[in-house]
Amino acid sequence: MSPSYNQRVLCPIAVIFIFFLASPVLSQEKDTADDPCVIITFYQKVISPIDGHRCPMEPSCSSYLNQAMKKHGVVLGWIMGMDRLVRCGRSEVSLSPPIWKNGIKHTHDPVENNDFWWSDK
Amino acid sequence: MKTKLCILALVIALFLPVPGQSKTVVMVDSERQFALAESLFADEDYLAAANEYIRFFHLFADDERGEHARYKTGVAYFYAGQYPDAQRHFQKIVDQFSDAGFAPDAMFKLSELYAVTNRPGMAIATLRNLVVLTRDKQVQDTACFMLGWLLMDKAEALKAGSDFKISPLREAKKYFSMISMDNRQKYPIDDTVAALSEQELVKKEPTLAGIFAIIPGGGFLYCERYQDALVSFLLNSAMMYAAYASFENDNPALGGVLAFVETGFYTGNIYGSVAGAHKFNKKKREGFIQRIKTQYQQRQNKISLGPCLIKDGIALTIRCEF
Repeated sequence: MSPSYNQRVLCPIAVIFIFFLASPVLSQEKDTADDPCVIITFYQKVISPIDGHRCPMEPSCSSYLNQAMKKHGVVLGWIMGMDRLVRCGRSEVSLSPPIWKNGIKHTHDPVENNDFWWSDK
Repeated sequence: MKTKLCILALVIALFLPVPGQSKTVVMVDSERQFALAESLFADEDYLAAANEYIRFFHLFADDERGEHARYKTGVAYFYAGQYPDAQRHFQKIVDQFSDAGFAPDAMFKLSELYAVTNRPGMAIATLRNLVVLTRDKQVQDTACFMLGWLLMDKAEALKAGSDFKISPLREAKKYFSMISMDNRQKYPIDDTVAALSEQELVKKEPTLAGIFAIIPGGGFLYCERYQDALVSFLLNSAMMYAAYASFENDNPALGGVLAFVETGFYTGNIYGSVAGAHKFNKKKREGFIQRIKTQYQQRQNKISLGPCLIKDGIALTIRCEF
């Protein structure tokens, strides 16, 4: 049986609600929140060490998402982070300058390079 | 009687000059005071120089070098990094504008100060005022030339700022074109004007990129980010289909998660496309300025452009020798 219209609408809303509940930024000052999203912290501390650090960008996508959320709040930070996941290791590699970290070449793409046209922070 | 004599002798002794304690009296005239300030300025002791210049125009208020001293005070504070003090002194000169005095120089320096302190709109407004106020053709041409460069260099920041609604590159072209025929040899801007027209044609429109991004990847394609475009299109299509299929197959929880993630990817695709257009324009503009800079260097003229370290980062400096 296919789900009703209410289910189709309510389920994404419930997921969004859970996601934002896991984001203490909403209830704290943006500047004082060290970890804007516990999901990202969980990924960085538990999943990434097992999975291995393979992100060719600097900062890594999870750090970028964290920084974007800290700087612009959960909603805009989330959007910027998703944009970064799409761009990770593709056209950006040939467009942005390289940076060496621990002897490995990365592509330098900080948050400032992607919000310079609207943010003064 | 003896006591009275003793007291008298003591009083006289108190008022007698003490041998060996006489002090050298230094006579400071305007020449020496100005020379001291100039010498400190030459030694790059800018704060001390600023204090001496201030002392000069307070002690010798009628001296004809008063305005010069005030201008040098501003310059000294500027070099010492005390921008609010420098601004205050420049502004006092500018308030009593006269072509004969130091007002044009103060306005040039004031615009430089605004540029260094990341206020390009104010820097441009100051130079625009100078173009309007001055009757000196030489000053007007220099102001137009610097305005053109400033508008080109700060185009992105100016467009992002709410105080600048017109196209900075078009404005730059306008001011370059205003340079008089006599000074066209001095400021070889004909090539720059032509290049600016060309530059306007190759830029990407961020709004258009955002509209194209309604179809996932369309905006990236417009910004010549082909790999990003392909990935964005495939990823968004797959996520949309997966969310739809999950709901159709009676799996609203999975559908909800997928729809949420897809919303992020989709809005991210629009954001990335708009940002991509801005980044494209920035890169082209930087390349363009570099090219023009190289052309000027090749001509070995007296105009030098170069990076300069400032408090909050790096600024582009323009130096013109006359």
